[in-house]
Amino acid sequence: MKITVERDDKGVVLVKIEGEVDMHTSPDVRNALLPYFKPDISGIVVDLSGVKYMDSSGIATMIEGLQWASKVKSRFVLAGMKEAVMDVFVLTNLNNVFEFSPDSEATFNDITGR
Amino acid sequence: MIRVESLNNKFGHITTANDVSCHFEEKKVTVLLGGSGSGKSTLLKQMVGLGRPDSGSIMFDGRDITKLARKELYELRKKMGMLFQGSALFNSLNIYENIAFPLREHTNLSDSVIKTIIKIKLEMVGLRGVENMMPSQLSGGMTKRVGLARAIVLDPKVVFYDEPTSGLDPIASGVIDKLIVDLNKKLGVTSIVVSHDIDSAFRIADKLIILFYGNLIAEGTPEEIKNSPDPKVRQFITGSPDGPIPFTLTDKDFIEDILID
Repeated sequence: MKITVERDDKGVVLVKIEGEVDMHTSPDVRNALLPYFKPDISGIVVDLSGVKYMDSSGIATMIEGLQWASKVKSRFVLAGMKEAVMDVFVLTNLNNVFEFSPDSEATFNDITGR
Repeated sequence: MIRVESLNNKFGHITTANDVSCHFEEKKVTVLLGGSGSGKSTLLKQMVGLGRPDSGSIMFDGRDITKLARKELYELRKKMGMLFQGSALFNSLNIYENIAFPLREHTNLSDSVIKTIIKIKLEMVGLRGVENMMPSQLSGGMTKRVGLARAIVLDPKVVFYDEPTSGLDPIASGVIDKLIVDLNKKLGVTSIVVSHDIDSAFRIADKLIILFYGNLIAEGTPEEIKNSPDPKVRQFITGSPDGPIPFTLTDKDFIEDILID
């Protein structure tokens, strides 16, 4: 799994994840997200377009991200999710909890006001 | 997914597998049916590596389980979930700790992630809110559902169920049947169920395999099994005491047996 992070000067962070998010790799996702849940960050966009598989630990990590984001009042958006990954969210009745977007760049630009 | 080839096994003079070959398809529910002593539970245990057969192979994702070293087997078992007949919960641990056990054993997930996973799994089996209860405070049906939540906590590719509806009332049995089918259809989990509950088997199976004293006597869809002309199959599915399946294990004459002893 590969994680890249891009941060702009307006406090918006784009976290791009590629590969499988499972019991072994989700702690890395958590560690990558953790530093950005603070008041000077206005939004975090997680680009999941390169994720083919996500298990329960990945979902739980995203839930934790959502909880952290709500504490610091920043937006937390899951973007570009493949249908197979979306199915897991639907299955666990969590599809109405998150903010989803089809395109990470458009969402990133939307939050930064570009 | 799992292919059993030419499996032979004996415990003393009792044959539990006599040249058994069968295939358990990926993302399907396969039910192993058979009376007591037919060899179905032994086969299930050998499929998860709890005991080795006398000969033959059990291929799981291209690897022969019967020949794996303990460490390799331990790794492979992360892809397997098992619902034991008695659920095998730890009586000294509450429900939360019972379900968390495989996660703590096999992963480095944080406590907060583990907590969320447990909530998700308990929601899947319809038991969210019982986290702080002890196993002794649960009904039989609830115990099975907690056992199932623990069996699926590592997101296994295959779940093995050993007599999942035994000892349950009809409604609790129906709930377990529905959970097995839901997990299979929604999560794509390959499901292998050992049972002698005919009604349950016909409700949930994509494929049925019937064992009779270690011999595979029939396999097919529920429809094919229902229409089987084989007298042994007919006797088993109708539960008739009279037929080619004897009540006793031995052919030896009873009078001769007790007089000679």
